[in-house]
Amino acid sequence: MNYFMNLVMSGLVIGTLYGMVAMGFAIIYRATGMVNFAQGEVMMLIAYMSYTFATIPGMTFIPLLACVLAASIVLGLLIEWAFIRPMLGEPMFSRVMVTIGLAVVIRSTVILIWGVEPTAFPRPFGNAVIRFGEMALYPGQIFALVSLAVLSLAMWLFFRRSRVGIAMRATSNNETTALLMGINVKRISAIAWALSAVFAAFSGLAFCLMFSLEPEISQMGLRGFPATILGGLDSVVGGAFGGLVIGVVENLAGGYLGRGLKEIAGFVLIIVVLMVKPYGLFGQREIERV
Amino acid sequence: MRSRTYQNSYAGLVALSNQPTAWVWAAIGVLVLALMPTHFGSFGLNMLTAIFVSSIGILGLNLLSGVAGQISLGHAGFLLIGAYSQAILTTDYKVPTLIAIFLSGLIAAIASLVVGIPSLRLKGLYLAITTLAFTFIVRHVVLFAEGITRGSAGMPVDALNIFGVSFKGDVRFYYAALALLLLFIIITLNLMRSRIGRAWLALRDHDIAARAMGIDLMRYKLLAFMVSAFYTGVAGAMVALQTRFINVDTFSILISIEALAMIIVGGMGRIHGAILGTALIIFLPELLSLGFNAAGDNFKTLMADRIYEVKGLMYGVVILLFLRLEPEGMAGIWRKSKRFWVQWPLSQ
Amino acid sequence: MSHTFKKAMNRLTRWSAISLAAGAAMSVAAQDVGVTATEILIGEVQPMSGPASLIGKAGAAGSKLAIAEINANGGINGRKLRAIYEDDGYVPARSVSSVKKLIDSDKVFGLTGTTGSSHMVAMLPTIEEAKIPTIVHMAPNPAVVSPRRPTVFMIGPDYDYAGYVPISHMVEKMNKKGGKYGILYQDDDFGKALLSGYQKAVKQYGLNSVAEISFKRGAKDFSAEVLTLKDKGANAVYLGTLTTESASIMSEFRRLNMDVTLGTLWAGQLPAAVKLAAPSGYQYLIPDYYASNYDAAGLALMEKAKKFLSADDYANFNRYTVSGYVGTLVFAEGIRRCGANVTRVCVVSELNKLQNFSTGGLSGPVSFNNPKAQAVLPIKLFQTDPASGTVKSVTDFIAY
Repeated sequence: MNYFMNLVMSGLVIGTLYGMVAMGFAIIYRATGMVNFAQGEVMMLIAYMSYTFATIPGMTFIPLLACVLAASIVLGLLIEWAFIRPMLGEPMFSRVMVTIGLAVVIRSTVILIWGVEPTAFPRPFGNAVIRFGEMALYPGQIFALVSLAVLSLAMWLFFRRSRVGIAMRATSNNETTALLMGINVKRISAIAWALSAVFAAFSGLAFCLMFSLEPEISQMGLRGFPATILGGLDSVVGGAFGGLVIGVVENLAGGYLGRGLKEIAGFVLIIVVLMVKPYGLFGQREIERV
Repeated sequence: MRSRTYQNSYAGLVALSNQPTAWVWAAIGVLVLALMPTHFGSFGLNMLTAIFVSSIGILGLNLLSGVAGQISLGHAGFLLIGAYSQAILTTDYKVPTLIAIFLSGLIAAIASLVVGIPSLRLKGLYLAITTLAFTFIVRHVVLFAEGITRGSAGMPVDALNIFGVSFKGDVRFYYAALALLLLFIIITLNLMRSRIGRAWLALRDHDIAARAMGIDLMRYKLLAFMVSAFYTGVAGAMVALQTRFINVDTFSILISIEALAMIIVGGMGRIHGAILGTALIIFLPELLSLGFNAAGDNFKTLMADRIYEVKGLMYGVVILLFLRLEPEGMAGIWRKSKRFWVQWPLSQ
Repeated sequence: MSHTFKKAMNRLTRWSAISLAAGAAMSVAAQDVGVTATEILIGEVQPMSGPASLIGKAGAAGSKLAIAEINANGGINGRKLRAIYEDDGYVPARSVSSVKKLIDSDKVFGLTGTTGSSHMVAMLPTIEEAKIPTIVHMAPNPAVVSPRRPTVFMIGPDYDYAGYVPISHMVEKMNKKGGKYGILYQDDDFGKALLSGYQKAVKQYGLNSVAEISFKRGAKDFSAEVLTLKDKGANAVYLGTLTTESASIMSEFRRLNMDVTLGTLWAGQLPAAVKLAAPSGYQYLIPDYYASNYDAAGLALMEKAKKFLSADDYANFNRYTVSGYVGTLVFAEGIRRCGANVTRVCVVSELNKLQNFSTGGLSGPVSFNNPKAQAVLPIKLFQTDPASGTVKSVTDFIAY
């Protein structure tokens, strides 16, 4: 395969990670209007928990996935109930700061329990390279691509067809009015956090299957921000798309420009896009009234 | 018979405070701080100096985020610009160090237009992420422009030198930092009670209504960024003068997040809140160390080398506790204590 | 400032000076800072938390091991050794405040741990001013010894060697002179040092260097960089990366089916790194100036570690543990040679004279009697065996 196509392919693969993290940010923003700065750390916690599950003898892939999903939903609900819900009604700044404090707490706890050494994550699909004609991919990379596709499709259907999706938009717009309209704001908030934890689970698993289990997973949270902004903070499917775009742009910048421009290519791109579309590519324009 | 307090001079009208007690307490506070070097050794003075220097930067961030309501994660970027400007100006262009400090602030203020102009279109979290992007890009530019900044090797910084008097030692630099902090506090007090300060508050609370009332949003938003960046640039220059060596690692993204923690824990929008918040966050690791040492040797051996993670954990827990229990931060605690003290024995 | 105030301050300063002088006069008769009749206190600044905690904790563990061993053998001339460890979280500003605490509050006699390279440079003014004997071993940064600081001693060759040695071996012993060479290096001064060592080898042997690619520290995904290497046809690559990045790069090489001869630096020896890289199946070269987990001398030290260190520290034993051990061992030797009268001046002069001090096979002999007071240790080459996930040594300690 030629150089360009290879770069695009690799960009799409790393873009799935950004995309899934971005989706996690987006669903919480959409439902509650706040940014969860702890997304990377939640991803890290779930990844480490998955490792513990995976080392149980006899654990194959499907049961592992089921365990991880269950654990992540419980974790999301727990975090929302314990840390976020008590802060309902406080200024946005403080609520966002809680997630920052939470990020520090989770990161320290994970290192406390599991240690800092990078570990190889068990590969349930083996480690052999799978070749499609001229293209070659690892099973972990295929898992990442498939996960993103499945999750995006599921979310698209969810918001199109279900009432919960519309209820979410109402809640983030104005909590009080939503309450008056009979929307159970607390339930919406809980659902959003649970879903965000599910996205974190998939992105965490994808990371571990592609790279390794290490404390640096939490940095993915920060790296996912450009993707969220590009797609629009409140657009979940937009976040997935934004992730893929950022991944490809970064890789192309790295392949053709080099000199460390790869890392800031994403940030430069979002600044340019924001100048033209201040709410991202697919974000909703926030209407403010006096 | 007196009916109220009249001021019969212009000076009296514009004075910062017409209560003699306020001035007396302020003087006592400054005196206590000035006498600290007789009691504290180098390490303690180093920490106090760090608090003063960081406070200058946090006052700036407070003006931007607390008073004018523009959330910024770009604090680390402006610190970086200020520090490198100081280093480059004094090393390559032989600018006297004192002048270089203010020039660094100025350079940071001009650089802030890079973020300020997008801010005219962006709101809330979109703006915050843009400022984050700014920090990353500044970091990258510093590493890229090796010819000027010495890239990743970092740069040594000449010591502070005012009119031939060297401020190299810990004690002397402590006084310099204290003097600079007092200067900036006075500037901030004046800004806050001027038309500019009021315009910023209007900008924070309801910017569309503010515009309807005739406040030029563009001008005040840009001004907020530039003033805040000036403060932060000066703070960055002082950090460079204190540690006498800088490289990109000195100012990481975590500094921006720590800065936000300082203003939240301190109480948004208040000057004394900003300073108290800074002091608490900088003292926190030491307080935790003291706590651990007091807990005894058994606890220490139990924790062994996990102690550093536990400290990190406690740090996050303290921030969470503050947010949950005292949303107004240290300023709120101060206010409540003052009220309690004033109303005693009838306080509730 | 009013005249009376100035006079008062002058009087205050004068009295402080007099009392300090009196105190100093009294203390000369007493022991030196950090030394009592029964104990000598040393200090270390290490990154125990944050990105480099793996390295910092290992270094501190090595130092603890040396101290435990020395104290178990009766101490140094009747005095026990004790150490205080400060965490700087790999932030230079914190390194400076930590070292100030050690020097002024804790009053340590000497420093045996000095965290990362740029952090050491930041601490230098404080160290020089205090004239405190310091051993630098974790991050041998050439800037620290040029110019020479009177009380600072450095163990370890410059990072350039890490870039030079594997390439030299590839050419001379592995018959790869005609290969297309490439290097991936981090964009900081540590990476630049590796690059300069690599370039020295390229020039010396007249090699064809096709790609010199820099990357940002903390990068996880190297697909673009590896694709560039493939595009340029590189088949002998030097990886200036630390633990997990090397594994990730090698897995990309495997995915693109590239046949490459690889060399990396001493961090590649860490057991975690070796295990992570094994599935990709590449036998890569690792230079190091310490013998650790895969060498007889290192294994012997591991036995001692099992006895003296905590379970965690033993499990994380790696070449940085050996580095910490050797650093403290050398400093203790300097103290031992001063006999009963242990002063900073004496230890510094003894260390200056140190020649061919043996570390029991953990490294080459340590000598500080050169203009830079730097023990440029000879380097051993190791090679991984991915099939068994182990590492075997390829050469002995050779001075390059």
